Amino acid sequence: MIAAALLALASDAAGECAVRFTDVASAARLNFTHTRGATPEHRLPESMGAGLAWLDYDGDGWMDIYAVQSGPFPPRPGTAAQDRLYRNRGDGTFEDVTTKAGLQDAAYGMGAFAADYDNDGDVDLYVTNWGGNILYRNEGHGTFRDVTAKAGVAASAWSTAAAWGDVDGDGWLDLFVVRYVDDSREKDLFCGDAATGRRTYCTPIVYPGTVNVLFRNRGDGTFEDVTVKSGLDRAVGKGLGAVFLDLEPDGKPDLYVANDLVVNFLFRNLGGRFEDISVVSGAGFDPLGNPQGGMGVDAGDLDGDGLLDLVVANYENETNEHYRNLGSGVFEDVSVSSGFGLRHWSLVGFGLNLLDVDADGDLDAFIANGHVFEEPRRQGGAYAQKPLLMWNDGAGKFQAKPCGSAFDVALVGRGSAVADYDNDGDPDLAVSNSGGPLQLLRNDGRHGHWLGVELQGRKSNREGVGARLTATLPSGRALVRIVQAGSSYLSSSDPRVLFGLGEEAGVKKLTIHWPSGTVQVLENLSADRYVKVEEK
Amino acid sequence: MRRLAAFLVLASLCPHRLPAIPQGEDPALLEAEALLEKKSYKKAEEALRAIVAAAPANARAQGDLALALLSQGKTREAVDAARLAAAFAPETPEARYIYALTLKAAGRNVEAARELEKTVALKPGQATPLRALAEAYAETGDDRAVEVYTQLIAQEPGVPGDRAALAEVLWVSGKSADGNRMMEEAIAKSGEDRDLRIRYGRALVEQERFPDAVRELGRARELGASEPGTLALWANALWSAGDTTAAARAFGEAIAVAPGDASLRRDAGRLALSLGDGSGALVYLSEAARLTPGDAATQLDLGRAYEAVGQNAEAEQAYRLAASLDPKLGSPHYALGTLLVRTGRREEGQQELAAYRTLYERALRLSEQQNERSAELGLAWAELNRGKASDSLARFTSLPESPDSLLGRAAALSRLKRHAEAVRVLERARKLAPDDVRIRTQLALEKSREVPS
Repeated sequence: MIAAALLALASDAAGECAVRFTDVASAARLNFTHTRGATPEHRLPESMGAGLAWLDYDGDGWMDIYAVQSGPFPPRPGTAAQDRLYRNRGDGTFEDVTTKAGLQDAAYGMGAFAADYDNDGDVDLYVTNWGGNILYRNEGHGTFRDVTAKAGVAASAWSTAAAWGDVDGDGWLDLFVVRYVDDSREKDLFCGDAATGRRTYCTPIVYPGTVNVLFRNRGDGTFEDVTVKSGLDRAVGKGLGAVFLDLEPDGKPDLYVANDLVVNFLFRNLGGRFEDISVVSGAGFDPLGNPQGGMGVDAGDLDGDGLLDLVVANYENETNEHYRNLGSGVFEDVSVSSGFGLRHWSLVGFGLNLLDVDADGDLDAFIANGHVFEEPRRQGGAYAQKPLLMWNDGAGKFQAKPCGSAFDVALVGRGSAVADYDNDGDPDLAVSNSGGPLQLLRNDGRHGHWLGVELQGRKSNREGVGARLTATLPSGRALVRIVQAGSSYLSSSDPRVLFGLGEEAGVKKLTIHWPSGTVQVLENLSADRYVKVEEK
Repeated sequence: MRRLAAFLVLASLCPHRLPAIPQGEDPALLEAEALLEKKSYKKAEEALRAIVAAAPANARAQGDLALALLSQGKTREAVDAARLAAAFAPETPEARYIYALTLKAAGRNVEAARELEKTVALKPGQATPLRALAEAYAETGDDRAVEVYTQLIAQEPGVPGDRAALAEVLWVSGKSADGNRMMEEAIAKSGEDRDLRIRYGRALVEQERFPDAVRELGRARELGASEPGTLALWANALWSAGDTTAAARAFGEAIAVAPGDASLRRDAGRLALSLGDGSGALVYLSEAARLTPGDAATQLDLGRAYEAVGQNAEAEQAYRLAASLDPKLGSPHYALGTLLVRTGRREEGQQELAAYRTLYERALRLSEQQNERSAELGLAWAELNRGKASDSLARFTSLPESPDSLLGRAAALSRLKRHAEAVRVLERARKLAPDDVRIRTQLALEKSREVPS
């Protein structure tokens, strides 16, 4: 009774919002501040970091968080800043276990992407950097070991996003690494006011693009660079975001890459080889064929038709894109008609997550915003910007509505990732802010019923990354969700799947299409709990 | 009286007011000046030619002749006559001033500025030549324009036009905030000058200060501005400031003033499209297309409006027309291609998209090269401005030859006092870009500095 009254009160305080997000990082002892190492030279990497990863590194059932640090630029020995791992104590607080866990990435960090690549039952971590990435293997007792050299996945130059997916269906997670631009000639360039010598960051158009890298997991702890073999070497981009998604669905993970001011890539997986359908799919540009400043990206079924749609966070003066999947690898740009992309003139979108905020069964969207320029040219534009919460009406139509004090705070948003860190059945968020504090946005309020699903693969990869789950509710409504390892901007989220059930008190049928091809059905699952499903 | 006549002629040529060159009271000359006053330029020219034939050193007659010729558009001859006037009366500010006017008319702004400097030196403190000098400096991009305008403003603080002109100079040199402050002072001094507010509004739009531009253009509108161009600018500023409701209203108002202006309807249609109002967009864009049937961009937008209301066949037709009207425009191919693919005509769609991809990739390569080059040039200029002329010269020289890199190379050479080399470099640049005003101006400057070895 009292709880209900409190909930009602909270709801009133937040206006019409049934739920609200509050930054509880400080109370949770997540005292992480990102350092970007801004210099008068305005080197481009300073403006891009960083991301984060949610992962249950110690297997205690509570999602821990890895926050990527950037530091001085260019990185110098002795002054390097270090990424941090925070262990979730299960009581709403976190502790810094970086040293204890043997993590020592002091490179100029970009993003973090968690997955159990060696199928040994504990989650590993890939960290992208400017100038060489690191693969940390989880040793199984709360510590990690840098296995980059042995695995052969350092890549080179400037990596940004990454995503894990079983590209060839062999049960081992492969690794796709996104690279941004070739900034090796940056010292020969000047952007800004040549008269006063005052620099600003150059537009990415100035820099040559780069080729992304695909590493095939051999299953023995090593990887093979199959970029050329897979056909991905022909696409030169300026990537910042990537997701695996199964377009058709045919069981083979396809790949989408958000590029900055060049065409976004959509690669159809032909079974280890990829076909570039970026232009013909209609998901590469805005409706007139103009490339946009793509940053964060996510995929999910936004209109309940069972097909995975795509969303991309873009630069100011552009629309955030909503590409509706029509099937057969064809998309329609519905950014304006869906309301998702109605212009927020001065916002620069980075982190982008699809999540069912109020557990009503449809995917809403969170967008972390923050400008690149400390002093944006456009009047009214600001470096620090408030995030957006886009509410889905269930038919794929969106409306922006801030809910909770977290949306009153302007910061320079970059990576964002979703996790139910307090295991209460609603999705919370962590946001990495350039030169600012890490935020932990706790989701509270009135939610519908829910069902959480944690997968454990046997023939498939251990976490079931790439699995497609369909929950059929007693009303007949079907909800489709996927297991991802890498999305948004430079980040990866909780691999567990959360179904919001609204008023419905359970799931009549849960169908799991495992990456191995196995189809598994569970029936009559009661709501408001997590279930662990082992692949049969 | 006759003096006054010449003065009036001069005043009709330009706003700068100086008395004619004193030279006695020759009746024939007074007669000729009367003809000038009556704007009988041809007859005045004949009379003045007779006078200078008999007395070539008659500076006043040469000056009057220059004015008569200038009034008839005979600029080259006017320059010659004015040059003689200045040569025969070198210490006479009026002669120098007329010479400067003719040089300016001939587009020889650097030389005009030099003559005006001499005029000002001969008549220090007089506002008219000072103002002309400031204008000449402004036109040649000479930083000294700021100094001269500042002097003028101190001298005649009540003249808003000088503040407005200084604001323009400051804007062009990238000092937006200073320019804005100056224009606000000009507006305050002028009472409520509508045209100044429009100029300010235009500058604010260029600076992407849309809310401020809305304020200024809105005030101009309240003061009676009703030209379609101003209303369109106001509507676009409202749109860019995010006030789409007011923008739609403003476009409506502008269209009522200029119903035949297709660009207004196109902008209004685009606004409606961006708001998801396909039907509204279709009304505007259909009319825009009717008014300008040969405009590819309008056909493209019309296609989008048809698509937005589900009239795919009409959309296809509009896209095809847009593509045929401007084969170099990629967007119609993309819009048509994606429409065809979405509606099941994959093969046809792919052909259009292949055409689009070729155009897109070509444009992308070009844009990347241009931007990279621009950033490389930026560094060379920044080094030059930091006093590192040798480094800057090496950097400019390492860049592929283009009008911009040659201009930079010449500037670095000039800074190193290697003027003869600078002239040679600029002459090469002029061959690449014969109409580039910067090159022409810089070349004149360097030639004036060149010391024969």
